[in-house]
Amino acid sequence: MIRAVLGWLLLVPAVACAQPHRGSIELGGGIGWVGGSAAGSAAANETRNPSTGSTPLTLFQTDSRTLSAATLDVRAGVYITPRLLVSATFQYSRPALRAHLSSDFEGATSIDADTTVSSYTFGATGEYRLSAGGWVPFVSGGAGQLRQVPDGGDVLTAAEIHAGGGIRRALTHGRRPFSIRGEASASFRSRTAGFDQRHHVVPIASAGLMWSF
Amino acid sequence: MRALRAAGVILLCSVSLFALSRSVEAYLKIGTKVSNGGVVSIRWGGFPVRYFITNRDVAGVTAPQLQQAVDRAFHTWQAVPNVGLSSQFVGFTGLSPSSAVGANVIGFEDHPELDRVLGATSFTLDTVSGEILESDIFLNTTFPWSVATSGEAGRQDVESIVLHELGHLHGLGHSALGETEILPGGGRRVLGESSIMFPIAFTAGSVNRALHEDDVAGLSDIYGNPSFLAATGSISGRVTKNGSGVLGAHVVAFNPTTSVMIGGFSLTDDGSFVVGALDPGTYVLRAEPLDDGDPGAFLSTSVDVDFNFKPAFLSRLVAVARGGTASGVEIKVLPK
Repeated sequence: MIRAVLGWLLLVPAVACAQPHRGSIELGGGIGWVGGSAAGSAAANETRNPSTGSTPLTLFQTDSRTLSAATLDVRAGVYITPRLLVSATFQYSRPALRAHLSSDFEGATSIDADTTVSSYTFGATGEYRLSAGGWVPFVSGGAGQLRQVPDGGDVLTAAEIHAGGGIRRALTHGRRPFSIRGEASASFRSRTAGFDQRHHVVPIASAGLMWSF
Repeated sequence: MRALRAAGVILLCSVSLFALSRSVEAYLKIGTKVSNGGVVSIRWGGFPVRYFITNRDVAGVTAPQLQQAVDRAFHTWQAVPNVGLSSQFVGFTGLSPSSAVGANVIGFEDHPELDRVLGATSFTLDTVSGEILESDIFLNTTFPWSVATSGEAGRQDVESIVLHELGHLHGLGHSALGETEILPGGGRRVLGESSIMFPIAFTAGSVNRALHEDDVAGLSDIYGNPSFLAATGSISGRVTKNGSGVLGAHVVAFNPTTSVMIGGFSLTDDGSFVVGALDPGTYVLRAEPLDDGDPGAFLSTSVDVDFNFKPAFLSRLVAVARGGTASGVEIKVLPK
């Protein structure tokens, strides 16, 4: 019984050092993946001569999609409580916007036409730890601004809201521990650089290295 | 100088229409050689355009009915924002469009020799500045006409044809945004079009009284204020075949977000083109031969237009920024 109590007492300092305290700062970064989404379909229609039909004459058809892409993530946060971390986040990616061009009225060969979109997300995220210990699960959510710039084009801005969860684990112990962090989330974007100009929900996954002090 | 709208087939224009290549061009504007040897686009120096109507009735259309249709067509063009067009009906006249001197006259005229020309617009120009001093429009009495609200079977709609001719009157040339088929007995029939300035009219009985974005872009280019030019952008590049330029290719820029199509042409031996007056956005580009009408309806007859290539898309999308030019585009086409 005494041995058991001592063991618990000996463990406490180590665990306590691994857990952040109120006011702790955490910096981190990593890489990830953002999923693709449909970007709209459109027809290049001409006004039909009424004597030749009643439906528009379609010169060609476009079916578009934003492709998945790698992301670069940077975050800096502060612990409001030992379990609640509030972070400013930045994410960068360069997904391709691809249009499949088909059904040409005069027989042009169907092709895929691409352009690249630089995508920047600036936001704030709250992360709540569900437990303490080795592998620590958490839930997260936040919002921000999405800025997308097609190559050579104008900046498009949109609201971004995300929610998800993940897991983290301390790699080192002490006053300034390193930890690894993995997260999966769903990102709602009020508008994207796609052609449909509508909201989309895309999956995001990321993994990174965090440093607390 | 005369610009024609054809019924079923395009006839060669009586004089050449010079295609102007400027950074903001998105269609053809009518150009003229001026005294210094250069080519300038023609335009009115001031408004309103004061016009007379020939006091002549034809079967189905009285002179006052023609005047009302002309007034509606003028107002359709005048509704284009940021342009500032205006017109004023002065009165009826005994003069025909071809005989009038010093006055703008619109009316019916007998031209049995032009059996496929519905109407035509002629100009008197300042040979130094290119300013339009006078413009007259005739509608060919060889054809039956109508001013019925929904059109009349077998008769050409006056307002539709006048709307096209008024595009010329304001300085626009023909657009190639249309598809045609060759009829067994000769001539062409329009299947569809995306510009009132396409040179071939819809079949008799149809009405076609609305402008398209290509028409608005053209007029805005000629008369638009600086804010219009600042708010739009352009795409420039080349159409090439086996590394050499293609002259006379029709280039279409399509915005899948807005479904707007704006046309342009490659106007030099190296295949250079500019499609302008584009709203900011991302565009699909497509090039095709100028084979949906007589090339003389679009470009000077001295231009050696290349028809020997297949329609093709550009293999990348092109983003256009507000007030900017996306340059260096190369649309590669293959011989037929």
